[in-house]
Amino acid sequence: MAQNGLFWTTVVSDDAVDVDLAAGTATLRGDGMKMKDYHDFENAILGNGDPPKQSSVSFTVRWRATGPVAVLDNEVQRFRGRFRDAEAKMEWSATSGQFDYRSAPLEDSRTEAAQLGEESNGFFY
Amino acid sequence: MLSPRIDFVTGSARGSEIHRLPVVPRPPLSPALPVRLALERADAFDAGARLSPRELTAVRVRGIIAGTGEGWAMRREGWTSGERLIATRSVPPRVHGGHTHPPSPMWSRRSFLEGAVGAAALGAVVGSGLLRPLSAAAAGPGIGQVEPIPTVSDFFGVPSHVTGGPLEREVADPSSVYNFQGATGIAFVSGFCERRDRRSGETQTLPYLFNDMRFMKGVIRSRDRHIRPATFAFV
Repeated sequence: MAQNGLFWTTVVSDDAVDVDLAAGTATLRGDGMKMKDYHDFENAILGNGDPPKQSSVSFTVRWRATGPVAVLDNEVQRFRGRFRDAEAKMEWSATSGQFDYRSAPLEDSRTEAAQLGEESNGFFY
Repeated sequence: MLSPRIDFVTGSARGSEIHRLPVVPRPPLSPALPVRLALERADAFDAGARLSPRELTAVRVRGIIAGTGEGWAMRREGWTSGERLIATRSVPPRVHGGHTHPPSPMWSRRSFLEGAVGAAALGAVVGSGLLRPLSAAAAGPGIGQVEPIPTVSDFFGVPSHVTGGPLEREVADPSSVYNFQGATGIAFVSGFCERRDRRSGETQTLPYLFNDMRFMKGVIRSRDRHIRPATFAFV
């Protein structure tokens, strides 16, 4: 978590994301992003384990909307949006310590859940 | 399309200051069910089932808890325990000696133990937290201007500003950034990867589960109340 409370979120360049909501497609890319490898989730949250290792990761994630538009609104969270269920596929590679990782090709990945859409929250709610 | 609600008049009283908004926590999962379902799912994963428990947690690539299957438990049971959200106070960072510390969670030993299993399951869904961005350092100037969503999930007693998006039983904001308007994509993706030990040359095929990837591309109202274009990755 960043010091300002942001959870696993980083600013990326504008061209890291290509999105066309009319066509129902989007792509997120990262290339050689420097990361910290905390080994496990508890250590990532609490920092109570081994010090993290410097690592890097590259990835491509592609969304393709498949469902109808659903209007979402949560007044408590001050969030509303219009989202479509989607198929999402990804491939990635990473280096951490003595290990290299490479995923199977993008088309071999499996969508568990995905959405693509537009939203307004907080000030824009 | 959403009706445009961008107010480019900075400093407007419209909209709320985030630190005046309630943080919305969700209680940790009941530990029993995720564990049971995790075991069921691990059996279904051939590659995962061949790994020892130690190895099952040894896949270090971001967003991956290999073979534990806890994400499946989350999928079936939903992100929250089903209890209603409860508003409480916010947890702003502590400022000390001219620099800022992250929020300091105050948990009891009991609450930590009770929350650990559920939080681990959540972690698998959120993206295990094995590889994390170098946050402020990597993000460059401007990240300090970005507000997190006030809604929090409880991980090991730590209120974390993220929801499960479509995995939640109720409508939940998939964005991790607040005061945001624009396009958002959220994905939970599973698959397989190959891990190669550069020292020994040994390779191993491992599953990854519910890898959580998101983007947010649009405009934000930053802490200084300016409207700025911004693009974010949740990695």
